[in-house]
Amino acid sequence: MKYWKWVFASTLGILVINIGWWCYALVTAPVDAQQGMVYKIIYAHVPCAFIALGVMGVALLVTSGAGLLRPTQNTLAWQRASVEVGLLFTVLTLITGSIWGRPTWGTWWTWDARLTTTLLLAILQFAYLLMHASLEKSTRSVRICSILGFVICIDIPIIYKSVSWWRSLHQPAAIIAERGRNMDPEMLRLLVVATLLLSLLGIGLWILRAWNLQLANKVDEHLLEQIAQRG
Amino acid sequence: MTRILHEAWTLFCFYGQLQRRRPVVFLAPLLFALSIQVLLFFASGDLRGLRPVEYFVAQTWLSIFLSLQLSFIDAFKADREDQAFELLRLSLTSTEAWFVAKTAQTIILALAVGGATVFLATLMTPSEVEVKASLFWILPLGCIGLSSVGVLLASLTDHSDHRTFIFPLLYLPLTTPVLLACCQSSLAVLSGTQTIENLLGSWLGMLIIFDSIYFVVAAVLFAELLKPEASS
Repeated sequence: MKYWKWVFASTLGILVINIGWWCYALVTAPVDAQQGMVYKIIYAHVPCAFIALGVMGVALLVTSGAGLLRPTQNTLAWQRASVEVGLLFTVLTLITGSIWGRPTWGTWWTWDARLTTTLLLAILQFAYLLMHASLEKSTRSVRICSILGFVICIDIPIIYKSVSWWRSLHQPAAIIAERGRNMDPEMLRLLVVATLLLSLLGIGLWILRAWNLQLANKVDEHLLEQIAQRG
Repeated sequence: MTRILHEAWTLFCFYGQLQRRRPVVFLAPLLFALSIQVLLFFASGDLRGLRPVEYFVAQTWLSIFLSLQLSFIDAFKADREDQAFELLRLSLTSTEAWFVAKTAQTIILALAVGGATVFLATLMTPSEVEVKASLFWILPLGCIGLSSVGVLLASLTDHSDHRTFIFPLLYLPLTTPVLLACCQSSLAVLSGTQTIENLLGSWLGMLIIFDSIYFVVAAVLFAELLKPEASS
């Protein structure tokens, strides 16, 4: 936690670089033959989805495992931080997807399989936070939240595979497709860098939030000690 | 394995005794499902005639889902009140047996609710929808999926003061694949587009996979919940 200033400064720096990269991608990325300029929201939408489903999914899986093996409030802080950051990026994925959907599908929202399951993931993450808030601090609450974390992780592959399982309006996988890549190399280069940069931002936010929650726990403990001494 | 099954049977009988003492636990969801079904039939009115099979499937599964959701919120209430929870935690009974017994009990409740709902729907749509026997293959599979998730979530939310709100928030997203598979399979069977054998390769196969995943995951994670409390 003593390195928080460095992490904070790095996260802020990555945010500035991210914004710069998006501007660069908007200007230099080639125009898509079918969708024109509209597709360029991909540089925000895909990285957000990657963090929500991939990076924070792995973080939640690891912290849930840690929570079951070593149920302490510190592991719970890391777990809750991963859900909070995950929820933020899931909501951003839904918003950017909706903005993309309006000109391409002609609607802001449709009950398509991937859209629906992403919304369901957001509801699950929200329910996790509600559950966390409604439990008293104990090893059992850490275990309960860890189990819930595992259950949310089970939902993530279902979302990823939903496009092939169910009928969908959503674009099929273009970057990691079974028959090889079908994306322009220049578009792909810009997208990969945007994804890496936003992933770093997501990880920075995760670390800062987890430290923040750990600090809040310490303050609570300190206050309780003081009350006990006075009482 | 035999020991687990024996223990599960003993616990199942014990739960049966608990339920006989409180028949409302069994009867309330049943009557709730039927009243929801009547309400939906009344609300859909003449519209039902346009797409009778679709309405039949949607109304039936929605009634089953809503009724089970309400009954699962307090699935462990009786255990808590009768101190059964603490007794079982202290005893040498395996957690797998406990989970199997509780799930079996909820599956029976789900089957009763499902059977009654389908029966009422059939009575209310005598000429519009021809209910086929193969629908009764889909009903138990749906009940297994809905019950496994229900038991796990009921035990998870049991310690929360706000379980009335949190349980539905968790239950709907997790049971969506099961509900989708149930509705699509029922629709295919009732409209006569596919047979049960064909459906095994698509929606029904998916339903069996989801049931297996949810049952195994719920059984494994259920054991974690019963570990003794220690200060953190």
